[in-house]
Amino acid sequence: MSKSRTLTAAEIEAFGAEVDAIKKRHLADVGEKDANYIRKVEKAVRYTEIAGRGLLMAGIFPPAFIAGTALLGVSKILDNMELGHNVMHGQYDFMQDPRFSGQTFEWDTWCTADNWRYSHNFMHHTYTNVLGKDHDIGYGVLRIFPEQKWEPRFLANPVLAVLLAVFFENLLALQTLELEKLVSGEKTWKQIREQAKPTVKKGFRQVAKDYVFFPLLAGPFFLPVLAGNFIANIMRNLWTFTIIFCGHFTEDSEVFALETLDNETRGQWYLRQMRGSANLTGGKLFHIMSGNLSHQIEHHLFPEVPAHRYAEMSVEMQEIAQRYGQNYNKASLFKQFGTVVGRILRHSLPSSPKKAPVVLAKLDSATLAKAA
Amino acid sequence: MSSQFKLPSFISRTVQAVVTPAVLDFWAAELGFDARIERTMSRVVARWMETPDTVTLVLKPNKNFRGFSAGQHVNLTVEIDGVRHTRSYSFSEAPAATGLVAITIKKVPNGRVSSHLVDKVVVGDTIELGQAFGDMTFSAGAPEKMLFLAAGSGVTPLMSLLRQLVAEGMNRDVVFMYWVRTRQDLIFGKELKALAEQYPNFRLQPVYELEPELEAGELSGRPSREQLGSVVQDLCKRSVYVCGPTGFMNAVQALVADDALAFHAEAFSPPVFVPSTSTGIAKLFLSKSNRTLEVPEGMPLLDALEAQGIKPQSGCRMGICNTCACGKASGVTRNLLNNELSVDANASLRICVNAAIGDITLDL
Repeated sequence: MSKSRTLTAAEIEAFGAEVDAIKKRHLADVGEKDANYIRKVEKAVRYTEIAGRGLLMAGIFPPAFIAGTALLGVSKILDNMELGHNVMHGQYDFMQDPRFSGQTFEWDTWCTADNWRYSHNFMHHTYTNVLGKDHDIGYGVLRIFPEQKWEPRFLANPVLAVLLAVFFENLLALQTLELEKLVSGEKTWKQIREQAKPTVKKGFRQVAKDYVFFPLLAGPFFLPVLAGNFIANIMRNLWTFTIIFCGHFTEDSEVFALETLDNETRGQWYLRQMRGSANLTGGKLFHIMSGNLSHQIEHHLFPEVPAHRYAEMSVEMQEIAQRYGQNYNKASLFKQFGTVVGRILRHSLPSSPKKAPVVLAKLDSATLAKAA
Repeated sequence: MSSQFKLPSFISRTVQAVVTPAVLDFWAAELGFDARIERTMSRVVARWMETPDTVTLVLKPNKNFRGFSAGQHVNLTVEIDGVRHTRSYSFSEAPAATGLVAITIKKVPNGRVSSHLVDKVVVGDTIELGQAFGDMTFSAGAPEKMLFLAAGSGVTPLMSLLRQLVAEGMNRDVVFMYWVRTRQDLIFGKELKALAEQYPNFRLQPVYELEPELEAGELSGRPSREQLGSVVQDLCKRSVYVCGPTGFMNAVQALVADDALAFHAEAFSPPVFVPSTSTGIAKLFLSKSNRTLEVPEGMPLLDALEAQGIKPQSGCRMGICNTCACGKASGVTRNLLNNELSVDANASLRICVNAAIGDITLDL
């Protein structure tokens, strides 16, 4: 059963208005503080990268190898999460600086920024946890919720999940191609090949950078650099997979039926975002390393607000959620990820939902008008 | 530091293929270089006040700056409270062999950027530039006889043209009429007067709006036929160059454009749009962000987008600098400056001066 009380249409709109008020207050305050913050993050990305790559040049000495790999991994994580992901949401567009423009930013991963802006910013954020619409539910290969129809292929859930975690950046880049549509015949090979061109080009550049250019730069110490770069990429993959899977697939995360989108109001949209997302508790450094996706609820409510503000906003959101009798899903990374693993294992086998997917409020327009 | 810092091209090409320009630019900035892969940065190397509210900044651009012609403008970007702002300003000097450029800025009441440039910018600061643009130049050769009409800070591009003529030996006939409020608002007053004394073929005519006591040879009042006639008798032989606020420009255009040999003008204040009679709502589809918005027909698209919280890149907001230009895939737009309709797809629509007529699709 849902841990959240069923709200009336009027309550949902009142809830939405309160959430809107938080957003407006923070957006009005956005300015120099936020600009300085993201520049500090960029600095951290660049300095850890150069330090990591520098140390790896001396990677035949084990301490340099370990420190270099770790620093490069941290750099890639920060680049993808606190810098790239947030910048590409347009959180720092207010600066009018092409360096931090959501439209032009490019990041250190296989997935092209353009594909990401479509599959993530638009598809996932608009249709969060709506079955049949949000491609991030299982990424087309995993069965996470009992509401997804079971097929024998899902027996491979655990194996595929491990593969997805290890090669997250590469598979995420493929996600935008929706390869499963090839199986179902909705797309032809030719279409896929055409669509894949920018991704292949980006992937080629990434490989050239991490596995050819920098190793060659080290001359005779080619191998440690190559190995360090590989491990750093995998580090980043495992970490982003873990954080992202905790965002929407924990035990208490809810999925929604397609009908919930019919005439969905702003209030319902906010409510769906909150009930479909899960937060992770932890310290400041942990929040930064997760790109503040540890505040997944706030990120989904306020994707355009600079993410370093989520911690503060989450205090306000918890108070609102409590007043409206809504579950505010938060726990430690260890606990939340445990339930994610549980889901991946459990739903590889046939399972049936205990309840129908949520439809927040199916209302005729007259009731809606009254509620508004 | 040196903007001539350069690597052999095959090395820089390889490096740029794997390390993005953004990263290279970051390190250039960290190390204190003004060199950038693509962006045009400049360093303030000198500044002085021309009048109590007007400053001249001398800038040293990096090698990405492709130079300019006298009379052109440039987009200048500064950061104020974490937000970058872009405005167009005229060059006030003629091009020089040193590669330095000078921009003269008058503080506008409540003008965020002009106040920042006049009050806050110091020697050593970095300012980003665009490339020079503008058609009021001597690219086809300077005419034999000219009449310069300047108002307020509109003097800057005309000063640039005049300095170009002086650099080439001042062998042209120029009458320079300059409208300002009071004597102390005369920008470049000393230099203009000195030039008038030095060259018999250069005549300066200051005109004051609010100066209580006039000296010999000074005039007062707004532009009129009588006033112009008392200064210039051979208008039909002169090419006229005008720069000032839109109202001033329109006024002098009506007075001289028909009689002058040629007429060139640059406005520096936002234009007054042709009022729209349409009250309809247009559907605006933004193809890159996959959003559909409803905007009032007749409203500049840039304003309409900003009203809905979308902030596309923008600059001059008067249809000049091209910063806001984006592709229009389909639909009809009206250019609010000349009221012309555009029905074709357009690779770069200046959304600050165009409004939707019916539903349109933009590549935003």
